[in-house]
Amino acid sequence: MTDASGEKKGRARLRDQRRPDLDSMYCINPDGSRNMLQVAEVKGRWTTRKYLVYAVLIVVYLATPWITIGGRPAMLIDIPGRAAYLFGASFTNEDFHLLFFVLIGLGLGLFVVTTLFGRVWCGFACPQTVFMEGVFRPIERLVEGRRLERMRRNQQGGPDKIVRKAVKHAIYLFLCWNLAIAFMCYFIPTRQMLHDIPFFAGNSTALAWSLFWTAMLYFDYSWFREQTCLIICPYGRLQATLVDYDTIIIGYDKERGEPRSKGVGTGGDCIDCRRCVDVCPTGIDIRNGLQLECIGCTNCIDACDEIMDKIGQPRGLIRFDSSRGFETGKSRLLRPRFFIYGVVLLGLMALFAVRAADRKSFTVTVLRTQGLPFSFENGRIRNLYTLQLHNKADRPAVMFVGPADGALAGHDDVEFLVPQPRVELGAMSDSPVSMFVSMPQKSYTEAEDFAFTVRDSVSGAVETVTVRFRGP
Amino acid sequence: MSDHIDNRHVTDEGYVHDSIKEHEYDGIQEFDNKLPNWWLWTLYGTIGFALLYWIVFHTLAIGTLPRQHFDREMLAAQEAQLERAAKAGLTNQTFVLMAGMAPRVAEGREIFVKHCVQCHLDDARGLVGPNLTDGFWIHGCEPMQMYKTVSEGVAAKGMPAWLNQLGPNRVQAVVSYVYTLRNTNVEGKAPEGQPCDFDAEADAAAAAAAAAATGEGAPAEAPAEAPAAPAEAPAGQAGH
Repeated sequence: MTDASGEKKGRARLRDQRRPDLDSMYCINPDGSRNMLQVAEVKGRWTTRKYLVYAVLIVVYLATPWITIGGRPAMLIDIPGRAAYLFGASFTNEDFHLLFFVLIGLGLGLFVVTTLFGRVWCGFACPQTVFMEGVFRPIERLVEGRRLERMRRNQQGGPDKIVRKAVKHAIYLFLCWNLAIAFMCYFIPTRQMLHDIPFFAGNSTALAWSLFWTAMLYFDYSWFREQTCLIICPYGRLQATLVDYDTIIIGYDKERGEPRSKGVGTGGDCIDCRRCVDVCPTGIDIRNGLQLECIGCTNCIDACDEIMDKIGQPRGLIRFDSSRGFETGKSRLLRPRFFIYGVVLLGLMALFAVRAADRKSFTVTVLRTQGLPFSFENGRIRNLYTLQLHNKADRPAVMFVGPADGALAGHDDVEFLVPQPRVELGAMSDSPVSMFVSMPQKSYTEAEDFAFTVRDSVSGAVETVTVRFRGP
Repeated sequence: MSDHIDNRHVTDEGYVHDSIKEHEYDGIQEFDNKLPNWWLWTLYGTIGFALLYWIVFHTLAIGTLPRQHFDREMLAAQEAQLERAAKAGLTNQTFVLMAGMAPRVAEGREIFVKHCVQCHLDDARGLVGPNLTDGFWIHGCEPMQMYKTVSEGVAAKGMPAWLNQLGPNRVQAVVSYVYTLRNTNVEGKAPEGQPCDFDAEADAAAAAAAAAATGEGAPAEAPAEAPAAPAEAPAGQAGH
């Protein structure tokens, strides 16, 4: 046996002996290559609850764009049309500032939840986890078998492995393609989508996007997997600042478990069976304490409870509890941090509601004709204005344009000429309207402000814009 | 979490895979774990992409750079605008538009160099013909007036009529070039004619106003419907 092969074998042996620790990521081997985790199956009360949540959320995530509220999709971000529809409300690009409240609100909402219950979002609701654990991993189990079978097949190789892998990846690709299209329904109206899928004839941009997302999803769910949560997602990095002594997290009861024993009744309750490590989808040892990599999936809770049942010890060696709870047995859920986040969040939501309700159904912008403040015509001073009417509502509108009551009342013989006093506007469209105002030169004294009114005949809303009449 | 540190390296045979760097700042030391290979390959990939991009777009200049792409689209939009304007007939604004389009102006300059420099000199500072770069004009400084002068010529002073020889497109190009020269004040032949300045913005406003007056409140489509009469801008029009 040569030195090289001996060294290689030695390295492989060391790799086999590697255990999750706090100093490195288990999913990356010491040489930088990928350590594909073979996650063991688990059953239990949390797993059952989790799959129920996944089932509901998969339906919600996929169905939301297909639901219509008031003739509009429940959720649609129409990028080329510069509009967004959200549960019956429609927003145009002029409402873009409201996005601030939405994003900050979502962020703060996550803060509140994290402060109370740690990363339940990651384990129960994030689409990455929902589809990974709820769809793609079960398929892998179905095709390639349970953990030990998978490991045996991977080691043995041969046609059995190749066929199973091929079947799995074919299913993955097909699913990712469908997921990509389902995801794009948030951006392309479903009616058009039904017409365009699956190959987007004549819409090469949409086709390119669908293929791009198919590739991204396939890469993510087939190979990249937990690295999305550990390396790319920024949320986990905030854990250290969001979680405190009283936050409910998944933890290991050290007092009860240590010292670890290989036999029942020879030490602490932990028998070091490493079930909790085998079932972890991010490859950590929860007994090392709370870690960035923990997505709160509850697999280790169910795995440990099962073992505790078997050895006749009470459940809950690994459980949901606060750091304070693990140390003193007492927990405190409501604390200043929660109320501060909560108050800020409620304040933002109130601001959002006020701002959103305050939106006008239309806007008027008035422009004096560029470069021409006034002109003379047969002894009269004439001003020309252009009103830009923008119907922001999600329905056609008829608007009436005219001078406000008492406009330029102090002058003789003022003439308002609105060539088009009745303006029909399509939903979310705009149109310019010209207005002439003239008065004899002898009644003019100095520049004076007056107002136009624009009335939306559907909503009854009236908008007044002030302009200035100018002369020499 | 320092109480968990003693749980590190929990292995059956004391397997240690990471090393700690020697340097220490404020009591903080760092591990020397290897970067994931996919991460490194992403880095190498971006370096390779940058090189490839450099060679394709800058060295070989095969691809279209964003700026060129933008210019091309802008030009297409301007051409389309010009086409719409052409339907409404030639106006001062047609030339203002054209003067903003580099290829048209370049074409105009080419024609100017071929046919006009004999009398006006290369930089249009004037020899037999007048200096075209000063603020004085004999036959009017509005583009439409220039167009008329170039097309029909001024027989008495030796300026040929170019329309038959060059055709309307090239006359338009050369006028748009000359339009860009006005008020550049190149030292040359002494001023002739009247001081004159063409205000493009005021002209546009007057055209829009005239269109609005005749088109009854449809200013958006005015240029296509109402042939503007820029030479007859309202007498009382203020500067701008």
